[in-house]
Amino acid sequence: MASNRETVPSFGRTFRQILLAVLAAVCVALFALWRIDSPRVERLRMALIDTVAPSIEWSSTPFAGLVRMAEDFQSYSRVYEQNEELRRELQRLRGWREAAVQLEQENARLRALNNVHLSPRLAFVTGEVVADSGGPFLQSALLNIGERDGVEDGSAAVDGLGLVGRVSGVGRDTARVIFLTDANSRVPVIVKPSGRRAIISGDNTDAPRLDFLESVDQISPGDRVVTSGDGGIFPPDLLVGQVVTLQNGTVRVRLAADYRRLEFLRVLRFAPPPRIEGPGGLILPGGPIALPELPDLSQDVTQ
Amino acid sequence: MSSRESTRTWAGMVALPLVSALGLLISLAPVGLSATDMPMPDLVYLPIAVWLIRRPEAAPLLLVFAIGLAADLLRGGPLGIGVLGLIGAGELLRRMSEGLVRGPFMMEWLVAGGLFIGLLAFQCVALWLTFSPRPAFGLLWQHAAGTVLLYPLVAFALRPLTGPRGRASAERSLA
Repeated sequence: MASNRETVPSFGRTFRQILLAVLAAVCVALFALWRIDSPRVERLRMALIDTVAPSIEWSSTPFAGLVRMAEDFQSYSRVYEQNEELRRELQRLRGWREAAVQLEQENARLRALNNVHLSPRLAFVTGEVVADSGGPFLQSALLNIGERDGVEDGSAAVDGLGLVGRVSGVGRDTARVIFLTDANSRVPVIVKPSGRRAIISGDNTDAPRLDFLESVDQISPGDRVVTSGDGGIFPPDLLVGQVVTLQNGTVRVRLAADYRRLEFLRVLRFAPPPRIEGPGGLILPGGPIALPELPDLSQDVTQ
Repeated sequence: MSSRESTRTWAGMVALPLVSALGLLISLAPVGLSATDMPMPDLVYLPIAVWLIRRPEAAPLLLVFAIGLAADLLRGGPLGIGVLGLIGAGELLRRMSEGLVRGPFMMEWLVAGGLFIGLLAFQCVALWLTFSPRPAFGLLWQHAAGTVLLYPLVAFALRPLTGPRGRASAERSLA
């Protein structure tokens, strides 16, 4: 009897050890799949998120609301100072608005003179931020818009001020946006007015690095950083932020987007201009040059 | 096992995923989206740790695995190593649970907190070995500190579900 009693726990322990080994192997396999960027992992993830998204909204909205209320309460305590500050800022902005209107008119006149071919217009869809990653391993947000709303993987996401990140993972009703601050984020940019190209690389700080910058000679603090549009994923000229240089010579970007107040994000639906891949039938390889047919002018001359 | 004990175990097995799901949903709330804002404490690890120490029979390995996998999938970060670390730390807690419920609460807190820091360190090493981007040390430290400091509060809040430590200790003695 005693041996029987000992056999049962021993069997249970062996079973548990085998189960533990199997589960560990499953975990390692999942990690390997994630590391090689298998699209199946992302599909599985977004399918699960689509399923639980209503619960996320239901539970996280009141909690986020409470935290925001607490933050707002702190700001109410210095409402007078803020009011004064806002009045001054409003006065400054009125001046800027006037300048912007004049510039817009001038720009329109110049474009008309120049017969400029405008880039395709951007369409966008706005979504609400319903969740974040909830941990230190990823800087991201979950939006309540997805494939059904025309969101595509890789699309740019902006707030009212500047670029926030790119869509990485789209479900039917949800999409995940990886922030520019995340360590996985890389976006090609141009520093203006010098026109230097670089890559803005997230490193889990508020001010991402500018990498692959040819030279820092013509770059000074306060220079505007905009997307270059290289690669055709992001539209060009989206505001990213301003250059700040540190004492050790590292060039960083103070982001224009206000990450502390992200409630709604606009996901841009950008169709890059068509690329001209060949001669278009005008020049045949190794053959005679195909000239367009000329109109017959002889009749006009005789008449 | 008496029918009353069996009912308690089943009730615990139903309550654990519900509490963990609530913790996960709260931690996913879009608060502090800035890169330098303090990350939320791990509200999935905490209830699982409390359960494994006080009611290990109501936290079977497969259930812990399922909860950890769901958390890994929903959080969007590295997949697989979070749940691997969780089941590893969970099995250690399960083995030590008998001694922990009989010892002082400080020891329970220390072990649960230490294992969580070990879990984070394991994830960072795995990311480093596979040349994956790693989170900032400052964020990890804040995440770990927040989670460890919250343990007593979560353990106290879950007392109605897990029972007081004295009862867990007495049950082990009877078994």
